[in-house]
Amino acid sequence: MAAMLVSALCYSGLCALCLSMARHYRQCWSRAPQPYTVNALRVIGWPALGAALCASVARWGAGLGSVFAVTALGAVGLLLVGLMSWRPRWAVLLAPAWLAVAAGLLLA
Amino acid sequence: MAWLHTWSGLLLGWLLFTIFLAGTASYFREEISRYMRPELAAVAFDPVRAADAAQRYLTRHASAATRWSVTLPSARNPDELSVFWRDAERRSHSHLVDVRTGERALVRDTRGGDFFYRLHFDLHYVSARTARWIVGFAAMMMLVAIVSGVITHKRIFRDFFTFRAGKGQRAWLDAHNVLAVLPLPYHALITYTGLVTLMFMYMPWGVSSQYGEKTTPFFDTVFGQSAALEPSGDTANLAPLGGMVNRAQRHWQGAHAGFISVSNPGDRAARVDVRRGQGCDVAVSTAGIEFDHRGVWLRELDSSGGAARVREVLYGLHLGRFAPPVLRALLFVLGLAGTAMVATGLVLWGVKRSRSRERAGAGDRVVAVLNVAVVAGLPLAMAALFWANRLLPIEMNDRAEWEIHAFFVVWAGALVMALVRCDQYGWRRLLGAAAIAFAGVPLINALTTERGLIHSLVSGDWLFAAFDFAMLTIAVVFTAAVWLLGSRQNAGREVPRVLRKAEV
Amino acid sequence: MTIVRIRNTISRVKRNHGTEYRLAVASRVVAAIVGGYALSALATMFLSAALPMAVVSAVLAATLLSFLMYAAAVVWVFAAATAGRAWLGLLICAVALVFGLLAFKTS
Repeated sequence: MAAMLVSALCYSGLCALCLSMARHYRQCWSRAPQPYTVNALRVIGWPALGAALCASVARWGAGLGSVFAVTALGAVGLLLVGLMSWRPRWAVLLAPAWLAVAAGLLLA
Repeated sequence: MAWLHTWSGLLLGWLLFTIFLAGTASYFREEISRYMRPELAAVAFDPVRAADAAQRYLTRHASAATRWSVTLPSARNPDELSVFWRDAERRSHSHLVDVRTGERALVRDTRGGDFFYRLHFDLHYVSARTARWIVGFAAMMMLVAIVSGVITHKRIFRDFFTFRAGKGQRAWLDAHNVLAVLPLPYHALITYTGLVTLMFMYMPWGVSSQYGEKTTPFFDTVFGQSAALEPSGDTANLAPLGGMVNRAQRHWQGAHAGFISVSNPGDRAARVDVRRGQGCDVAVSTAGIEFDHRGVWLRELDSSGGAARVREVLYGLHLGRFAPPVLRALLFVLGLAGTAMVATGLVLWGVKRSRSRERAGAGDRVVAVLNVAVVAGLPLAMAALFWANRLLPIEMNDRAEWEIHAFFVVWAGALVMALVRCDQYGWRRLLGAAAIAFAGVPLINALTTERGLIHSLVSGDWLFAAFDFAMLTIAVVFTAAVWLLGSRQNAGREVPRVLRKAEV
Repeated sequence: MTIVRIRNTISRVKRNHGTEYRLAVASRVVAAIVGGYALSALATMFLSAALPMAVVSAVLAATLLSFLMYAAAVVWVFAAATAGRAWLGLLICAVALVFGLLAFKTS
């Protein structure tokens, strides 16, 4: 299901970008991130968001696709913030889990 | 600039909260309407048949009218066929017609989900014109609040994901920021496109400066309509509308017809304008086919020009009718986020002010009372509307209006309760009342109709089941809010002064 | 020394809460709401005439942009250094637009 994949990519991208900020990295692992970790997270994060947009446009066309991507980004972002402030580790774990579920649904 | 953001947000915050909440509810306007008309049994979606049924009804009851308007059923609301006309004395008539029989639909008199839709720009108890100016002013203030909010919050990305729960004022500020910034494209777009939907009323000067008094050619081009005709005086039978709808739909390759306008029905100079339904495209559709009284295809109508298409896209983005179910749910979530953004802004204002003053001034009390009355009272009133819909006697006169009166009476009651106590206890009381009210909706539904939750689950009536579940979910959310507010007090965590027991 | 301090405090309070301050704020509010609307209406009329497209499209485009122009005008009014400058800025733009409109009317 394309909606799951787009949402999963949005979530993972936002999660990576969120963790690339020292304040939020510390929320999870109680220490400052290494410079290369920060860069790695940014390299993962932005392309993930780009991929979400591409997947959305590929599935629904330019108009509907871009609306879906932007909307999903906002909604998923709120979920991320809520989780991060409640259980940071779970918030991080959700990213690969959601991607795995979405990939599984697509391949099945 | 921060000053501008705070004041432009506050002064109209309560109105903006209402607009946002009613508007967000309108994403499910059709579903709410169907729930509030439980007598309407599910009918197969068939615009052609509906058009014929409407024609039968109108020929019998509205033969003297100069214009018929038929709103055909939509895929989301296949049993709602409504007709509209003005009689010889210019009185308007708007009826629901049963698709199967062509008779008046035997259904309780209610405005359904259209009430929330109209509430968010026409308000109530004031003329539509006045209401739209007030709402437009509020929308403009909201736009200014967004722009000034972005300018104020210059390091917007630093706090992008920050939410520090449980730390009093800081938590409210973080919540306000997160709810505002993450869905920022949505809020900005909804506010701007909302203004666009009524732009010819708010900013008519471009049109009037170029067209003066003769604005009809402009609007005909913008809305894809053809010029009106004078009646010829000769009577002639109108060909079956269903056939015309069929031909139009085939031309649109499956896109359904949504609206039919018949001018001079029964006359030889009759014109039938079949409009395409909304929802196929992000942009609203201004496409139509014009037929004459014999059903002969006259011409295809549509707006022209890139600017017209831009207007249609913006309008369509505001309505959100194009959204398939998942996207609609996401839009609903963001709409709720916008509503919560306004609410947290209002609470934050009260919290911030109470900290910087020793005694709560009169202005602070007004803010505190209105915060409770509006933020907790409006949802309570919405639940009351559903109660009234099920409980008011079916044969009552002006039943639809009385459902709405019940809504406002309950809201006024919430204001009274807020006047008595606007502190934390006052919040918990009203939120608790809302929780009970929402939990009661499925109960009353089961007691007064045959489409209660158990029956819906058993017979696969997923709309009614989903609606009842949604009511229960909302009740749970409000209960959680009451519990959270209570535990904060017990845990002795920092409670903002305005929420502590009101100082006399 | 104390007298100087008291005087400084009084003038600071007057600056932030005195009549002069309130008048300046009220002036800006009027400038923003009324002046901003008038300016965006003028700009809409100007663009409707000036944009190099079909009249219908020009009017539509101008009207669509009007709200953004209004918002920009309001932000300008409150970002200007003084209330007087806010009014002056609005006035200068309005005069320029009126001249532009007249130019298009005669051409």
